Amino acid sequence: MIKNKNLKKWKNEVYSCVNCGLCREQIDYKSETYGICPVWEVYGFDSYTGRGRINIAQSLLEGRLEYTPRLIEHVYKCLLCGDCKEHCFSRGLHIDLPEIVKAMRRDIVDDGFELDSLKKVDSKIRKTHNVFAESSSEGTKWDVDLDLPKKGSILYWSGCYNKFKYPKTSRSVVAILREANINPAYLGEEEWCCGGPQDTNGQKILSEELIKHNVEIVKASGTKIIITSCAGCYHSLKSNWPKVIGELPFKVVHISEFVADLLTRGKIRFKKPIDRKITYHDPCHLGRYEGVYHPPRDILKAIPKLQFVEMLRNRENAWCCGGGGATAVAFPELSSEIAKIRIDEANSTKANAIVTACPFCKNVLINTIRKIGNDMEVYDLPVLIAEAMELEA
Amino acid sequence: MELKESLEKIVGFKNVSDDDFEIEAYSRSWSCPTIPRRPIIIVRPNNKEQIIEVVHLANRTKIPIVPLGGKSNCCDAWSKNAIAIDMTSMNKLIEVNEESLTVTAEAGMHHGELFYKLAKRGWTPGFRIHSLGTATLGGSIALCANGATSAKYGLLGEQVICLQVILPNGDVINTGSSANPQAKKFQRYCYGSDLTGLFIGSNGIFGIITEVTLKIYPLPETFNYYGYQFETMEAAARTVYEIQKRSFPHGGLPVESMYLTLGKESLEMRKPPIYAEGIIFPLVLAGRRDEVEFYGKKLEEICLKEGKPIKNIDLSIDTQKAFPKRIAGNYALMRVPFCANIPTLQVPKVGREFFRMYKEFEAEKYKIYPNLSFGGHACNQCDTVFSAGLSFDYRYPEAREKTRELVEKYFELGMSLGLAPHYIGLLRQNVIMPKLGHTYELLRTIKKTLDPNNIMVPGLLVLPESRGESKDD
Repeated sequence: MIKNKNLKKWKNEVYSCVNCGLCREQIDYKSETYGICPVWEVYGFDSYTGRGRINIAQSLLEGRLEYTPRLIEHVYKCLLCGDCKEHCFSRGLHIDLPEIVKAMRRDIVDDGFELDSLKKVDSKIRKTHNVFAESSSEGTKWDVDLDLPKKGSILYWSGCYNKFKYPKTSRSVVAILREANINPAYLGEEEWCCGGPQDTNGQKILSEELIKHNVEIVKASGTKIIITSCAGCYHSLKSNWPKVIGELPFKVVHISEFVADLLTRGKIRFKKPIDRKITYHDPCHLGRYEGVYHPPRDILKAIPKLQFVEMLRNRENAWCCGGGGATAVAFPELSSEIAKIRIDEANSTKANAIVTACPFCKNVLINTIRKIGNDMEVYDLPVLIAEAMELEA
Repeated sequence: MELKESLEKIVGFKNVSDDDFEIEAYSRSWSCPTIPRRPIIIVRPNNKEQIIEVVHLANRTKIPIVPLGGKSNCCDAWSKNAIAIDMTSMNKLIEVNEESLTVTAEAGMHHGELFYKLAKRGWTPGFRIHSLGTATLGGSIALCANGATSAKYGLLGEQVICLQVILPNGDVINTGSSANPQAKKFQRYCYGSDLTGLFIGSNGIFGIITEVTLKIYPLPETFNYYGYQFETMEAAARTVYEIQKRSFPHGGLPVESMYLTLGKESLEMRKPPIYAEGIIFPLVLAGRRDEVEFYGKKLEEICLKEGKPIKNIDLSIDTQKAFPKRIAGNYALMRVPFCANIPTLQVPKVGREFFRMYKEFEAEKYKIYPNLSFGGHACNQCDTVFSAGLSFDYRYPEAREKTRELVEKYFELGMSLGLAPHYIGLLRQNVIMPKLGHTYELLRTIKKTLDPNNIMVPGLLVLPESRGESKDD
């Protein structure tokens, strides 16, 4: 039997829900009304909405409901995208449903009922300290010819995805920074997974182990500013790490914020026109979680000849790529269904490409595009920036 | 064959769930103080043919049915141990008929979607329900909801022209002019009795509404906001009455919305209520620019006779963006409303009686607080939808019990003062229905005739023979 030890800590928020259902659909004057919860959009049953999940949490707390294998799956069928929180009007609280779901996941994990698919990932991370279970030294290959220092006041944090899966993004970041006369430090194999995925999965202890290691190493490197190109890492470093460690002795910046600032100060400039119609997908961790909406848009709008178009759901209303909350790992079919809706939305803007600022979003979108046979291209922001600056990455 | 298997054959396995957690998610409405009412299974039909089959199955197995819309009702409007039919998949816009000035949509569409689909074509349903993004057309008609623009458009029932309904025996009927298959949907009152009216406010006990035809209006060019404060509630009520007198449905003062309140908390959301005297806000004029400008001056003349403009609030807010959110936010606060109609000039007296009862009950001792006001919003003729909302701390079981006790007292008081509740539900019916004499007996007779197996939302509106069943248990 799973106890509700962590969920109980969220009792106040759970009982603040008035069940109004405004977390189901977004209403914006003179535009479409549209679903808020992507999982609800796919499955249709109310248990997948914010208020449905709160009803379930209340029933668990009141002992009317107990965890079953199907309920455990249900708890993991949440993207933690935060759109329901964004639209919650209950007493003006913006009830933090992602945190409530994470508390439920911690309860599940603490009592030994984690999903098998996620157990595998966690066990890989324990061994290799990255989500791909690659040898850590393999992950440093992307910088083999770059001669990056291990210590320095500005540190580049690649994250697992841009280390193993999308090295071009990491190389683009380094090229951009060097163009601005910044030679960033890089921790190489000492950079472990940021702890974000484990926090999402409910593996609090593992997440904290990774965070503690990383903070010690970063501190030892004399870093003042960490720049990352991964939205998930950015949220983890900026908001999760202080919860474990306390105030951090360094600043955390997303590459989009850093580049937007360099552009404003005239430290870099775009040389090559990019004559394409491009839309931007807000990663949940960068947008709703951390409020970074303007810098990526400012950058794209500054690229010569680039035609920037917004999707219907943008900024705080953005539709999740489908990969959040461990869904891409645990329920890839569900993840693809949700990504498909986002791709359809991008297609309706007549854009040629989607730019995002998170390798995880990029991965989910690319995989789904391949699956459905669409010709939409997907770029990670640093790659496009490097191209517009005519940099070799 | 098991119930689940039978239902899966009708609507497909993806559209049926009897998971415990799903049942919990379908056991509550906005009316939170009630004990959750668990259905036994949930189905999500896509068309009326599937619903007909479910109704036949329910008759064969004698298992009750409860159609559910957005579950945003405030009156606890369904019974437990039933097959819950989630209507929200049936949400297609069927026809916008500019010739007959009507829109027809499936009953599972929510008001927000209709509102914005029409706005794109330059039309509006006019009536704007408070829970715009959740309440479905069918659900809100079955409960005869009021709305933010009731000052002009009345209660929702007044906007309904025709309905398509599946009766408890599975027959499909069309009401209004559409009863004749050769006729368009343009007139409600024809071929004898107003059968559309039978289903408005019926709590779903006479059938499942599957299609709805409503009136439409040209989208107003502009909206202007006003707010006035008065020395006394009586002065505010007199002013609202003066405006209402001139508010003819066509060509009169285009007042969409008019809230009359004893306190000023509706101006300062989420702050403790202050029992100041009368305030009218927001008062919204909508229509053509020249019309709004002209009537704005008339309105000012009427309001300034006894009141003064409210200052220090931003009247220039983008009403179309902010107003739905404001209303949504406001109503999210309100967990148990007392809500019923009363002639506007009686609102001050009634408001004070309710406030007195609230104080005598020592509600705050039980962590029960008033939300909104002891006031209301003007309805289109000469009445006001009076509300006395309550919010309570759900963490305390005693608060839940006491809230229900106070709600019952409110309804006893309301009925004794002559208020007319337009939606009923389990939360209210035990107080209201027995007071209706032969009218209630007629409802009971109609129910028995239409639904001999008592499968359609049993226990609602028509009380069970043994009264206890309709109480929370």
